[in-house]
Amino acid sequence: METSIGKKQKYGMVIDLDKCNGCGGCTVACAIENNVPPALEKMNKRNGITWLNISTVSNNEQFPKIESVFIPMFCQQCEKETPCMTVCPQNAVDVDPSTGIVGQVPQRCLGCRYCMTACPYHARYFNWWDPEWTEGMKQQLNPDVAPRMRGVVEKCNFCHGRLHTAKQKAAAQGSREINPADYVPACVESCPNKAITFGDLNDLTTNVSQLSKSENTFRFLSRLGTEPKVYYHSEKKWVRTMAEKSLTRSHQEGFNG
Amino acid sequence: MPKVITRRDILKFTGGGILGIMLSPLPWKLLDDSAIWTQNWSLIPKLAHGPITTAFSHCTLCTGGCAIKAECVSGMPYYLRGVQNHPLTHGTICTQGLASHHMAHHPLRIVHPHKFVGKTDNSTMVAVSLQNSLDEIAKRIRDAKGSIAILDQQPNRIISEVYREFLSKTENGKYITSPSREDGMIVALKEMMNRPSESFGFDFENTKLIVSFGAPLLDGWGTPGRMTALQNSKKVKFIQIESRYSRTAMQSDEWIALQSGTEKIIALNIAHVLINEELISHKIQNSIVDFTQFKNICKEFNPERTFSITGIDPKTIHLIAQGLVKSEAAIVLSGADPGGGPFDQETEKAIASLNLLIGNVGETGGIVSRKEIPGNKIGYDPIQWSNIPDHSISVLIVDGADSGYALPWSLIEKKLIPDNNFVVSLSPLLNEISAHSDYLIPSPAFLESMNDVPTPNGNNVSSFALSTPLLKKQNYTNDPIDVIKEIASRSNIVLKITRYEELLKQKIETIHSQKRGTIYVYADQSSINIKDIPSANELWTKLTEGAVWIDEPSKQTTPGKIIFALATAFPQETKLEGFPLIAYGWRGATSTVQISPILSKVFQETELRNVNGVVSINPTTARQLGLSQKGHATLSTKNGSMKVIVKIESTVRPGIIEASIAPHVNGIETPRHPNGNNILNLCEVTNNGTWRITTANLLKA
Repeated sequence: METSIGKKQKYGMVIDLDKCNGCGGCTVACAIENNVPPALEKMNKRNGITWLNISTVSNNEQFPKIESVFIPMFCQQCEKETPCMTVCPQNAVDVDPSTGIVGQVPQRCLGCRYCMTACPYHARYFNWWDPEWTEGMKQQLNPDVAPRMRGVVEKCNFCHGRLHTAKQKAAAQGSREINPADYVPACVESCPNKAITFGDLNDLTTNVSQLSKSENTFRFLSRLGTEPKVYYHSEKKWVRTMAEKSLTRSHQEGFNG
Repeated sequence: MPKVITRRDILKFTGGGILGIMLSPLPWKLLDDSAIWTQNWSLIPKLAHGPITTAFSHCTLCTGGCAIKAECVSGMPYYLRGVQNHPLTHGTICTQGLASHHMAHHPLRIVHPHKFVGKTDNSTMVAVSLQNSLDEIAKRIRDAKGSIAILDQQPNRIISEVYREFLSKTENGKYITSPSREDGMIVALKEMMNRPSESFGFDFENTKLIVSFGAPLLDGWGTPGRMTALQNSKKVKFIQIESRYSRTAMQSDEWIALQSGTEKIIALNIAHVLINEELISHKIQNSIVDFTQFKNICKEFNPERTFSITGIDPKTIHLIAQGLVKSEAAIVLSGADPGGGPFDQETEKAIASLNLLIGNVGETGGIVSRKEIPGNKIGYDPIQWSNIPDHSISVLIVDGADSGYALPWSLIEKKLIPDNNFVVSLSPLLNEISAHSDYLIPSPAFLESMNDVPTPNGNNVSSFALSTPLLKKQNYTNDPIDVIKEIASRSNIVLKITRYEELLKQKIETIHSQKRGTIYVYADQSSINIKDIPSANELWTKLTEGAVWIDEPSKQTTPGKIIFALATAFPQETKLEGFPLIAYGWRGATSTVQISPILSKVFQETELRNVNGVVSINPTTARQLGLSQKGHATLSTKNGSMKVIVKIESTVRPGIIEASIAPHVNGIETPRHPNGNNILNLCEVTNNGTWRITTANLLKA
């Protein structure tokens, strides 16, 4: 059965690390857009829910020669042998063949967290507690995104709700193709420095496609062969080489994440 | 013979049963269904239903004046974004602004007038009626032995004029603003040029070099969107002179890592080079009055002599000085540190003098004069904190607006008459300042009432917009203007003010009558000349629906007389008893208001920004003190001590302690009952109204 509407797309991102100033706007916009609850007092970096996490990494030089970059890290939308999908016993992870987006179906999720173990990027988050908002904030939740319950895993899905809205708009206009301007994830939109470029990697005319092929663009842990669709860009060589280092080695080399 | 059931049989039955159940779909179906059932728990919120609409407004969390486009469901905003192609904000709102629609639902929202019984941290909040509160405040004003003061953290609003009128009719009224002013250097510049009633801004769009003394230019300063657009244009070179590896230092083209507290010395170093190498602009040569004293001061500050104090080599100083002249359009500015407080006036003057020496005042790409918003009363600068005598204020009214910058309670306390003072807070939330007040009258929360948005700091042309309410105003809130009116009438003070909306309309009528400038309409992204708007009513409608009025540029004039009145001697080297403590924060999040609980993503769940109670030190310092990563320690200063968590970072200069100031994000811990985690209270407030230089010790706990 044909599930694709229109042509087959491959959505991806290129993040310019030289432009990211670690303001956290993308993290906050992502949480608001996707109805991720604020932290409870007991939450921390290990058990909180941040679909888009930002780490600080330094070049291991001494003050004042030290340099740092911020690395926004989220689901890298692996294209091949998607690790989380491969291990899920419940088929709660699926890859949309028409967009390439790796989705999560919380209704199917058992909470076994096997996918979290399998994810090389630590980009999946488990709901250890019930989500809590103040009464007024509950009325301000995004009506297009269902909140998740305790006991399930969640992660970035390139603001899937926005994709649906764009598709509906296109359908209402009698088109099968969405207008690229109608589908912009919250992190991309909120970035004050325009550090994130988003679009169809299959369309060679898009900025994202061209940037993904530029000289100083790289992917994290590309040696694993999972073909992530999130690319990073930096003119700094130490940043690019850092992307292939393992966590253990990086600790010795000044990894602050 | 009856069958004897053996232990083996029992085990076989049990094992077989378990295996059978496991092989059946039952347990898996139950597990699967339980995931579905949990969706019906009452704790899972129900999403709002209704029409999706769009509304425009402006953010007033700080003075940046960012335009907001709000997505609303049934009229309730659920997602905020910037207004694309906005000529002033360039489609950007900051991280706090993105979540600002939550502020009305903050856990620390005050829903009734309260008084605090007792002046200690153990005091209790007691609900009181509004009428009784107003009577008591008026009585205290009538009986005041010292000054009556209003702390207005966002000056130049219409309410600011009401405050001034009220104070002008009281005996010894004092109008105060936040000590951490982004325009501190401009104030010094105006004084040196003797042009007190003029407004100035920065012509960043035409400049080529910005030398910043610690201003968080790329971390929320001024109008954040303007600064990021400037950075992305790559037409401007940023040089950040700062002791910390701040986000601005990180993003700048060049970071000059000076020793903390030596900014004035560096500024005078640069001035020395400019004078010595005859690089002073010829445009100002005839305007300078009595230059000899300043020249003599600068002679003392030659780069070779001050190298040991500042840590900056003479070559770097020469390059900066030459760069300022060669770039032909350069600006030197200072800016209030979000946590560490303002510079003292002498430092501001030393920095301002560089702008005068390179002759950038009134020039393209320099510091330019701007016309004021029509109808604004000009020439009324607030009293400087250093000019307020200690123990002189009887009654202090704190406006609920926020400067975006830290303000230590100890600084306010220093100015209050001990044991006989009365503090009133008009804040919508319980926060650091309002928790120290005697009476708290809740004002409308953010986006609950109509407010004006005057020209943001640093803008080269004036602008005016309205922050249209997007949320329903709560019955228990009181507009500050109504509170002031009521207090005035009870204190026998006659004020010529009407309703706030009327004042706003009067302002718009004045703007319309001047026929100056244009408005930018957000809905269709069009610009309309003000002359083409037929009536003030139509201008009002457009501004309430989403638009900004932008003035025309002012005709520039060169400085008349310039007086370099500094009284700075070469500093003596002093041995510190401890480590320099640098308090730092994040503009907008270190201040008196709380922030949205969703900012926990930044502070708590990602550790992108440090929370209060975290100190950062260099690995060398950590080894010296025997401290480990995330270890506990005691931070102590003259003002007390507190438990802190140590973060070891190579970005910190060896031999100093960087301490984060941040709010309690989730609001669970109230400032009224702090657990001692406010580093700001440990900082030493000086007579200059700053708290930049504090020495501290750090011991393993």
